[in-house]
Amino acid sequence: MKILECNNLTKCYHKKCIVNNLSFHVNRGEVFAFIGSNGAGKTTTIKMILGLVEIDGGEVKFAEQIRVGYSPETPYFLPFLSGYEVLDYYAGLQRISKRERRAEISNLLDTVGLENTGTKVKNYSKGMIQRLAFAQSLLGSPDLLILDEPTAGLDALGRVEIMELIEKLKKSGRTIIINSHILNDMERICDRGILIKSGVQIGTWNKTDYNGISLEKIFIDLVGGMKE
Amino acid sequence: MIIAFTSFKEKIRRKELYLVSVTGVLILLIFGTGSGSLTINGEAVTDYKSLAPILLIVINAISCSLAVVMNIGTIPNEYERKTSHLVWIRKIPQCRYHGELTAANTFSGLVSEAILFLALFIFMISHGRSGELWRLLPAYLMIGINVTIVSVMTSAFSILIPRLVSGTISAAVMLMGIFHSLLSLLKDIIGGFGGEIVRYALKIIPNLHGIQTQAVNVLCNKSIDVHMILTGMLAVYAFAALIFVLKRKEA
Repeated sequence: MKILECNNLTKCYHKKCIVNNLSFHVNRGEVFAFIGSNGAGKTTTIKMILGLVEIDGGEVKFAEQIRVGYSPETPYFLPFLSGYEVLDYYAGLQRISKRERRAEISNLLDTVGLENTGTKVKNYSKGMIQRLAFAQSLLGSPDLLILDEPTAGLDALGRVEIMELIEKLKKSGRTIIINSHILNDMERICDRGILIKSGVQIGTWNKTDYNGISLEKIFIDLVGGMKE
Repeated sequence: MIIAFTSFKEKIRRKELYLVSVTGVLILLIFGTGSGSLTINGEAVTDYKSLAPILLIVINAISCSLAVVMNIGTIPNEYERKTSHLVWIRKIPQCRYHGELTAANTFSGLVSEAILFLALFIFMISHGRSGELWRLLPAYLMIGINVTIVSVMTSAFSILIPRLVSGTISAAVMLMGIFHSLLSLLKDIIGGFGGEIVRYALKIIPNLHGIQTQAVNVLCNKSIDVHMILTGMLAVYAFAALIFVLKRKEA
């Protein structure tokens, strides 16, 4: 069952198309990947889905009135707030009642492995900020979770922690869209995806269709066979 | 009002708010309490009725300048550091988002104005005017209208116009508003096309000087022109309407 369908998505800046006629759909319960190098147009596609940038062509169709959670590539939270206060702020914006908020925030902090010690965000490591971004995206139990470069800028340990977190969410049956250029991570976590180069879809990838062939090889074959 | 409250918490952490306010208070106290001397046309100004308007004019100028400084970057900052993304995806309308950020800035401006009014409070006591301290409240509210006009105007401009341009326009409008009476004089002196421009500018630039004069009148027990206050409130309304109308295309 489709939860999201995008048809011929196009975005151009100054006559140069960053995303060009991108079409794909995401099914409920799957982990879907946008695979491509830096500057391929993955983040712009996500922003179009979320309504953060205007669409120049095509359409985004959600199956029904679904709730969407989003974790940005470079999350910024007010440094003088604690993790709990950050989540309380966003929960307030979502009009989650104060009584529900307390329980949900404690739960989420626990899920992402952060402690409610009152430590200010300014004292957080990059990994902790990424976890906090995750937690805010999970507020209100969204039907669709969109994660933009969730492991960007993290060291090896931080990356492993975040990937474990995504796997945990996957096991709980959430629909997730991940955008990353780290192919090993994508291959490990995702069920299906599209490969993008210079805003154009150059192929599709399905974990079950390519037994034994690594995503990295598929990507390099496709990118190598395409001229800019 | 959760956005406004959080933004206000961020604002009150800015050191420049206190630095400018406290420096302003110290300068006002030096001249207001006789520790320093102020001379106009070679004569020392020491009496209450001459000094009070000067102090109020300085408070008005500092408060309005601070309002420009505080509002100039608030909305653009939200978009630059992309905190706007997490607000937009929660379906918060832009008018509410920008409105609450402006409200926080305006409130911060009113707080700094209150700090500056402390100098006037001390000045009045030192001049034996304790019985007239109540006059500070209406005077504060009137100067507050000016602070609100400048805050809301600067925020409205900063929604779509780049920071440097919106800041320059806001500072220019603020200065012309403070020197509104000078512009009126200029209108009579300059003729032709230049005079027409000044006449047109006088119609659209809020008369901050006029409102400040009413605050001075309250302080000096003179009658006030209510029309001037109402016009100021209308200017607040007009700029606030801009906040609700102007929208960004992208977060």
